[in-house]
Amino acid sequence: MVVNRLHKIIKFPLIQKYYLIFVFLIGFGYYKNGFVPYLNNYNTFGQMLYVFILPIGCFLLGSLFDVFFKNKDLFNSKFYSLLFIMLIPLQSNFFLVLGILVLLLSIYNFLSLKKIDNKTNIIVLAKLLLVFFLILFKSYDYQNRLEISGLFQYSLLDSLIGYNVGCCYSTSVLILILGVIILLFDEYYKKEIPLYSYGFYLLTLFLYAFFKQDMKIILVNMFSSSILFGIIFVGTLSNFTPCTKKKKFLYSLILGFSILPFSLLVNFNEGVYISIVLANFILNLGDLVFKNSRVLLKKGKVGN
Amino acid sequence: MKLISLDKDYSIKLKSRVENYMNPDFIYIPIKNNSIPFKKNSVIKKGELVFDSYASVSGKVIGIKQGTLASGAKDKFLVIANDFQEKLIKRMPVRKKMADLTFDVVKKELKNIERQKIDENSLVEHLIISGIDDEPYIANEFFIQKENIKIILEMIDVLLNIFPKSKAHICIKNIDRENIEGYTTFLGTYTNIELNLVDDLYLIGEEQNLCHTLNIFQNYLYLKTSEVVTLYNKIKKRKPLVEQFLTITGNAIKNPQVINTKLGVKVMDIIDNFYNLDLKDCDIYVNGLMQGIKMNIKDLIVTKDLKGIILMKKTKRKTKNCINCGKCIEICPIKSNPLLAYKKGVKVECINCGLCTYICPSFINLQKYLVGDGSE
Repeated sequence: MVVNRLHKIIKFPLIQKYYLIFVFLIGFGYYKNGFVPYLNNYNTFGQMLYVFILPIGCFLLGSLFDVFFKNKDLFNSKFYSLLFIMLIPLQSNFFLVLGILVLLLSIYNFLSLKKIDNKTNIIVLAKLLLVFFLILFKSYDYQNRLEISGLFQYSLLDSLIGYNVGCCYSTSVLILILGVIILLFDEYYKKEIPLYSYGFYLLTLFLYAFFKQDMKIILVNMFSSSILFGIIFVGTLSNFTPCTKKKKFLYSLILGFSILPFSLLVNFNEGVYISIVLANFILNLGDLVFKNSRVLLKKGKVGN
Repeated sequence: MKLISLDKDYSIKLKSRVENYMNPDFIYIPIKNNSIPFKKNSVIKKGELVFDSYASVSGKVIGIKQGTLASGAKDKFLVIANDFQEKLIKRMPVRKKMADLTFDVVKKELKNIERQKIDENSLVEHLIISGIDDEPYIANEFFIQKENIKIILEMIDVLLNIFPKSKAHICIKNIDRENIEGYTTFLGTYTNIELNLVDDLYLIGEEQNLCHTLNIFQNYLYLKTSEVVTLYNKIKKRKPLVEQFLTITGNAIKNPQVINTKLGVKVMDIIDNFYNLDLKDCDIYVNGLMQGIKMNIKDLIVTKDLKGIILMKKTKRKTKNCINCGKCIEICPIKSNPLLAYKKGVKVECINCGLCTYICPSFINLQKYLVGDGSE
């Protein structure tokens, strides 16, 4: 359907802001996981090239899906494939990654085509599925070849710049912080979610550090790139998050308070994603359980 | 309610003066209650009450035809062929003195403005006169003021005499430079009339929002400048409402303008008179891009409710799937939930302001799911 009504002029759409931030993150990821190990003779030329080509290839794969399924979404297959690839451990088997990515894009496009209102965060589920298979095949490792050598340790400053063990293309805390500042000025970005959930996360971190009598824990973990990336990008994906103030607060509360427990119980790289799944699940369950009473009682004025 | 400023296409500029379309060949008067007390060839005089409307021309009844109202509803219309002789119905002479007007005279006319519930015991401390066109691209109130500033001030002065302890607030947008100049030139002689400038925000001209801006919540009478002019014409000149300002604008026409036309005229006659346009090349919205509806104007008749016709070039912009951003819920002035209507077909309250459609990043026409949207 073609429309001609008055519409807000969006000069710099949210999706373009995402892509801009991704370019810098991926660029740094390539530098840290591809170029630097190559310079230090830990990567071959092919391995360095692989780190460079992987996101481009996945982006093109996403584009193919968009063309094939005639995807009309603002956040389409290209976007989700790029987001997924930024979450993978570097040592993941290429065919496993490709298989899960194809599965993710197929499910997403199928749901989109059938206009099924899906609120389950399939990106996170795909990532956790990948982690499951990596653990099963005993190839679960976030380190690049330089880090595996164990010849050095990263300092706190290194972590801030992006030299830390984390997902393939999302380790630069500095770029993440700059990115969130850019996103906070976009009116279509659900800014309440990262602000509240990070606040609740910090609160739990403080409590934990106080309990453990070790304030260093705060410094080390408050700028964890996995957690920041999860909160800023994955946990705020518009399609999978609530729209009303009350529900966004509830979602952020669950997310923020469960990040640290899951990070400690499972792993600091996956904790935030399990929290996102939990928050997503609880809210969807609540929607299902209270759906009819809400509509009858409040006559459609209640939020989604 | 938080008001916002709308992004408009400032290249669409109206002509600086009002054009007239006063000699239609036919006029069409909506038939009420299916009873037609006029036979074919009955003579109708200008100003004669025909059903609920006043005949804007004199002439003969030639028959009945189907037509469309501004709401999109189809109706039967009595067709009168203009004899171009302007034979007027007998009416009382022009009132010479307005200063000694009583409430009883004005009360009858105020009753015609449906929202007003004023009686002689009502305490009116404020007269709020809105000269604001909320709908973007429509400028009827602007031009009514531009052409009738003295009349408006005179009528407000009369109303102030009727409600002696009251003060008048004329509210116009701070971007209406011409009218600001006009008012400041003549306001000096009126001590109890104040000019209030408001920001260019959408829906600022609505009664509730204007009262909120002025911090006036009770004991007020709210009128639009067009209603003030109509009051003046009815009371002073004893002239019924037979003419209407109509904005014809949009990026599909070269000279957008406001036209002073007779009521009952076919819109297509006006467009054919002023423009050489193939309507197949444009999308047509009646009464604005925000609150109006898209419709076929082939049989559209000018009535009191018709404020403007927006002719926009057909665009290639397509709607995308909803991204669940929730901006439509956030921006809704009555805290309704357009998403429920769009996704689940639930009937929700709607005042048809158009803000949900305006803010949607996926260009979804949410109004279609809330209030229906004609042919779209």
